[in-house]
Formats: sequence, structure tokens, C-alpha cells
Amino acid sequence: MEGVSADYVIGPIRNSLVLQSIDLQIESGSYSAIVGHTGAGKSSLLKTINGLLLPTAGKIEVGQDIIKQKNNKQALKNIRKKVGMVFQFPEAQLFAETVEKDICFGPLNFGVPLKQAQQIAKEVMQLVGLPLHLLNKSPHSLSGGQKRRVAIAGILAMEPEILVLDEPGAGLDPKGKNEIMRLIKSLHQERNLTTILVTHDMDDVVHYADKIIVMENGRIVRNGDLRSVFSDRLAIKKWHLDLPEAYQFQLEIEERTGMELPQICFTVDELADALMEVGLA
Amino acid sequence: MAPIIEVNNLTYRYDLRTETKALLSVSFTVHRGEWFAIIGNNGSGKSTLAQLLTGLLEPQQGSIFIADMEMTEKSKWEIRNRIGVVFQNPDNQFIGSTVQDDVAFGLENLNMDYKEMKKRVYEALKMVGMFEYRLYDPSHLSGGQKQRVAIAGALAMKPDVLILDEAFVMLDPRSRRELLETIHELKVSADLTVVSITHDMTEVEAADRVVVLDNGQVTNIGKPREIFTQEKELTPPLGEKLRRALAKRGANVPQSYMSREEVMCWLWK
Repeated sequence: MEGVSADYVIGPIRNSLVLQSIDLQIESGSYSAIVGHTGAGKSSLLKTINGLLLPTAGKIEVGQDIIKQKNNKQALKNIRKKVGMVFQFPEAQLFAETVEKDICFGPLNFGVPLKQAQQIAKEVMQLVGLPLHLLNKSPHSLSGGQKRRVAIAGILAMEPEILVLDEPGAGLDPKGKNEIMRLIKSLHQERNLTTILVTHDMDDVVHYADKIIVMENGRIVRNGDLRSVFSDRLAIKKWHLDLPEAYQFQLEIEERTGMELPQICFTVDELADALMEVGLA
Repeated sequence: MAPIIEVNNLTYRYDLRTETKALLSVSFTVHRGEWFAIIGNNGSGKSTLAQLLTGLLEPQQGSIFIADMEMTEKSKWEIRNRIGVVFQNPDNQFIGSTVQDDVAFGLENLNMDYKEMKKRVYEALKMVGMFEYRLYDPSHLSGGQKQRVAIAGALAMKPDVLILDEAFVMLDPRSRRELLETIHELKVSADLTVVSITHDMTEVEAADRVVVLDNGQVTNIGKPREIFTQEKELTPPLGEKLRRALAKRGANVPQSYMSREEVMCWLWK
């Protein structure tokens, strides 16, 4: 992305710049988490990646294809095939009378013959860990976690190279959320995807992503690896970001005991190890 | 403490042809001014319970009393004036064309005078930190902002009972903590009763009591400390997680549940 700005115009009202001169490079095969306070522009940034929100300035390159302000027809078509988008509460978009039809909708739309689309549906059902007998069920008869999986399967059926997810775990119980997050991570690895995750859960960031992109007021204020970003505590505070819960607790322990642990602990296990190592526990 | 909600032997099934029950003989009492958390996995019957408590579904067997009124087709309108409800996905709850209209919607239905209404709307928007956005179109807001507006709409009604059905899921942790604090203050100052249906263990830890639902039945009810000790399947809050991780590594930690503060004191000893 180079100098991308964007805003929403609805009727006579123009929202002031939702995205402001964004420069961003995301490497192929990386797993990046986009974080920032509510309203920082995270979801808008995602929308520009597959052309749902067109830039008012700047350009977005996805592989060979370029989205500019105008004349994007072919580029958008290519890009939408390459970029699989999983929105917030994606199950709200399930519409067909069977799970199979829902999953096949995308591939059929991109011209895949029916037989092949049905084959793909079977494959992606297995990928997301759903039993095949659900294919003939109505998506609306499934549980929340299953619906979410169907929605993700529908995206995978289009065989995207880039997977973009907006809060994929929201609203699921902790077990369902963990399963979805682990599923995404394993898909990321097996299918060699480029994954972009919007989340406000810093524990998700440190458990699954390798890069973190921080947004504030429509701008990108930091893009780097986890440890370097989280160790900049002043900046984290300025951006109103949270810390992973184990690290937050680590800082409180260090403050209270006056002892410093050897490294930043992102998980409870790392924290327990470090506490044993310095002899606090 | 006087009970404000009494649920007696509540049973509900969606499909009368099958035996599968969404709720089976659920009973519990919530006291005025209490923070009461309802937890359970997806499909445990939490949402069905929320819909019954708000009169969106009618009990098939058993009864619900809220503020001494039995929930019936007739009484539900009056009961709803006493309860504020916020659901998980705020997109389904917007009516107004601006944020402030939306928050005022419930009050307009009460035929409240304009001045009082304006005061209440402003107060509620300030409480959730959305006052500056009062003239925005709610559909232009982010997920977390929408959820705060929905919460403001419920608070503006000054309800006796606030029912939060996964109402914080779209919020970042900081806003979540701030809103929890705001609501906690109201609980203390206005004797607000809070029923929170949640997956968030920090929210559960903040509750006075917790009920665990599994397959439509109450399987446990007690203080958070008791629940986290007894329910091994639950992911405990951070303090207890760390205590267990340390115990596993052979550290000489106490054998029973510890809160964050207790772990801290133990480390500092």
C-alpha cells in the first residue's frame, strides 16, 4: 500500500479521513495482526485490501493487481478471488438452504463447474473440521461455532492466497474461539496463506501472529515484530493498547517485588518459567 | 437482600415434537443489587434463558418473576420498562438515525418530557464515553462504538436490572474494563442488578455469584472462587492459571484457588 487514504460518503455526509496516507507492506506468507483502539480504522483498512472501500488517494497492490481510485474492474475481480474476507459475525451472511449450496456459491460465481465446486465443498468441510453429513443441513440449524466454520469454509472454497479476518473469534465460547484460532493458524501453515487478522485481543496476537500492525486515528503508527513492539511500553500506553495478560501481570509483579524477570513473557507458561528461574516461586 | 429475579423450574424447548430441551427445570434467584453471571458453552441454553428473561420467549413450564411481577404476555411490557438489555451484535438493535436519537428511543416510548429525556441521553452517552459521537449515524460507527451506544440506550432507561448478553465481545479490553467499572459504580450507587451472560472470565471474576449452565440445566451455582475451583473445564482467571502453572513446575504454592492479588502477595512474601 502506498499513500492510501479513504473515507466513507453516504448521502451528503463525508466522514473525515477514515484512513490517512497509509504506507504498508505485508509479506507473502506472513501472519500479521492489526490492532488499535475501536474506531482506529482497522476494519476499513481490511476493506481496502479487497476493494470494498476504494482509496480516495494512493494505491493498493495485491500481487500483480493494483487498486486505484478508478478503473479497477479487472483488478478487483482478480483481487477478490485472491483475497478471502471473513467479516465480523460472518455467519450472518449464510443464506443458502443447505451448507453445500452456501459453500459452493463462491466458486460457482467465479466460474467453477458444479461438480468441481461440490468436490471443493467436501474438501473445505474437512479442512474446517466439520462432518460431511452437515452438507445437506440448513446452515441456520447449526450451532454458533459450526456456522462460523461454514462461513470460513465458504471463503476457503474460493482458494484464496490471502486470508483476511475481522475478529473471527468474537462471540464464541472460549473453547470454540480457541478451536477457530488454531484452525486458522494451521490453515495458514498448511496452505501457505498470507493471513491478516484484526483483533483487540493481545493474547491472540502473541499466540498466533508473527507481526503486529498498530493503527491509530486512521494511520499506521507501528509495524514490526511482537517483542520489539510490546517492549516499547510508552508507545503502547500512548496508543491505548493493552498488553497480553501474562505480560501485564509480569510488569505488576516486577513493580511489586522490585525484581526484573529475564525476558518479556507473553504466556502464563513463560511467566511461570521465568518466576521459577529467578527464584520468586 | 430482597430477590429481584426469581426463576422457578423453567423449561423450554424449541421444537415440541422432539424431546430436546433448550432449558430443563432451571431455577435460581438474583438479589437486588447483585452482579450475577450466567456461563456455559455455546448451546448450553444461555441465550434461550436471556430471551425468556426479557420476554422475547414465553415460558412453557415454570415461571419468571422480575420485581415481583410474573413474566406473562400481558406483564412483559411493564417488566421491560424495568430492565435494560444489551445483546451481542449491536447491528441488530439500531433504530435511530443519529446516536442520540437511538439512545432516546426507549425514553420516547415512555412519553418522557423533552428536557429530562435530553439530560438522560447525555448522561448515558457520557457514561459510555460516546458523548462526542452523539450526532453520528450509528451505522458509521465501529463495532465497539456501536456496542457502547447500545449500552447507553439501556442505561438511559435507568433500569432496575441490566441484562448483558455477551454485550462486551466487540470491545477492546480497555473499553471493556472501563465499562465494567462504570456499571459496577451504578450497581453500588443506584442498586442496579446486573445479569451478565458471558464467556469472559474476567467478567465472571467480577460477579458476586455465578451460575453454570450445561445442556440446558443448572449444574453449579456459587461464588466465582468456588466455581473456578470446582469446574475443572473452565479456563480460570489469570491468577489461578499462574498458580496452577507454578504448581505443575513443583513450586510450593497453596493448593487452592488464588485470585490475582493473592498470587501477587504470595510471590512477594
